[in-house]
Amino acid sequence: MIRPLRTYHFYLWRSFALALPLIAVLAVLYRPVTTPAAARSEDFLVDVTNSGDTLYTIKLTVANPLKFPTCVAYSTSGNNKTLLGLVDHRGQYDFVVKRSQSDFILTDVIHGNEIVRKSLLTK
Amino acid sequence: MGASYQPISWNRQKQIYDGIIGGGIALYLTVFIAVCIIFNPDVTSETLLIRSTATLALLLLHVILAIGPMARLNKVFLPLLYNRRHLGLTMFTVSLIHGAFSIIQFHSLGNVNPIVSLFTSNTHFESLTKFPFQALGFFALVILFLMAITSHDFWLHNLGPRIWKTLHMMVYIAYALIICHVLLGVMQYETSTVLFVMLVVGMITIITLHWVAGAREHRIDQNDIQVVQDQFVMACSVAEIPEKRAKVVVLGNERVAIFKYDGKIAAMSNVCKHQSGPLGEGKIIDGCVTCPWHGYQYLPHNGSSPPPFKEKVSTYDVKILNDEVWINPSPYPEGTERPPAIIK
Repeated sequence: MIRPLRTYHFYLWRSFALALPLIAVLAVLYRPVTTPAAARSEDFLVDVTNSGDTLYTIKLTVANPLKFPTCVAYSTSGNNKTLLGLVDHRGQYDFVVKRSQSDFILTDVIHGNEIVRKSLLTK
Repeated sequence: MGASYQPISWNRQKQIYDGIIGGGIALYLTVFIAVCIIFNPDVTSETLLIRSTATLALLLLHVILAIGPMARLNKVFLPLLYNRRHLGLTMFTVSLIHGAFSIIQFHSLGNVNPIVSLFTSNTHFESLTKFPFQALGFFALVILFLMAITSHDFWLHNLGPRIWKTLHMMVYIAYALIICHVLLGVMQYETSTVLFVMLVVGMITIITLHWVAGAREHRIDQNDIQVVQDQFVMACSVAEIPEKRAKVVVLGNERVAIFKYDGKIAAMSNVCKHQSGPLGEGKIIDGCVTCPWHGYQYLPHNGSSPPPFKEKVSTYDVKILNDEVWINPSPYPEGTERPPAIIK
């Protein structure tokens, strides 16, 4: 190796020796707080409440780690599907939908499987 | 060393080496997938593929980055350095599988171009927890791609050793990006500490090896020769140079290898034209200085590779006074014939 490259190597690894452990410490310190995995037996809890006269609020709780490559939330009205959003980790999600919607669905879009279906009419 | 290009210069050693790489990879993937299925029976095949290739690529990268400093610190590891290129290409292939499947799985289902989606679906650059870590992995993969496509000697010859080596030292940048990709990605949601501990141990090992090897080289560079007489500087005593080997000295900005062979002393640049390997750590085989990294050879009296090869390095004037080797620090143009000093 020629001298400029040796010098580059020398200072680069000294920088890494400081920066990488620092990033590792920060990454651990700022990890999101998660609830214990075994806290709930059900993977998904869906709670529907009225939100005014025209809307529902759907509170989705993902209690355990997802077991599907994708998990996307929809509401349906007849044959029409309305995309609500991606569910990608444990926690609580709030969706607001119109009263005209009849069902709340979680779908694994890669495999085309329906994971959860909750009727909004029988809440 | 070759006068023409071949896709791969196979020999028995490389075949054994590649066989070990292939067997090791198959064993790793089998064990990883088996353990995952035992402890998490619900895991999908896509997740298994992404995770197994991710951990394998990370492991291979650590092995690759350890070989360089280990070979600098102990010559026992030089055969690993000789074959490192195949390991690098293997690591890139595994990384590419990981990257491609991750992009397909997480970014290909929308109406946005998957690469655009990778950069626009998450813009939380201000947050450590939600940092767009996938972009870091993508940039690391780009660097590894550039290294992989230029890994052949054709590119080494056409880019020149300095540009080629500089390009390939970008693997260190790729390493830092990959470490951040893992720390800010999977580590944010991984509840088991096993992966984190393994990553930290690997990181400390690599940093320590490069730190120690770099410090050793830095120390050598500080030993610039000072004693001057008639434009020659005193390099060492004749007895300090082992037969058919070299003593490496620092002259100004560069290192010079002073070889002793058959009652003669000759000096040439310490930097091999192939991949800037340390010629002074090689030995004279069949009358030629032989680079310890990949076996490139040079005639000691003119710094030229024997025909039909065309590589050349700089040569230096040497003389012997009272059993001391004196060297003129001004290099001659590459391949210039200089008479070796005769040991009386």
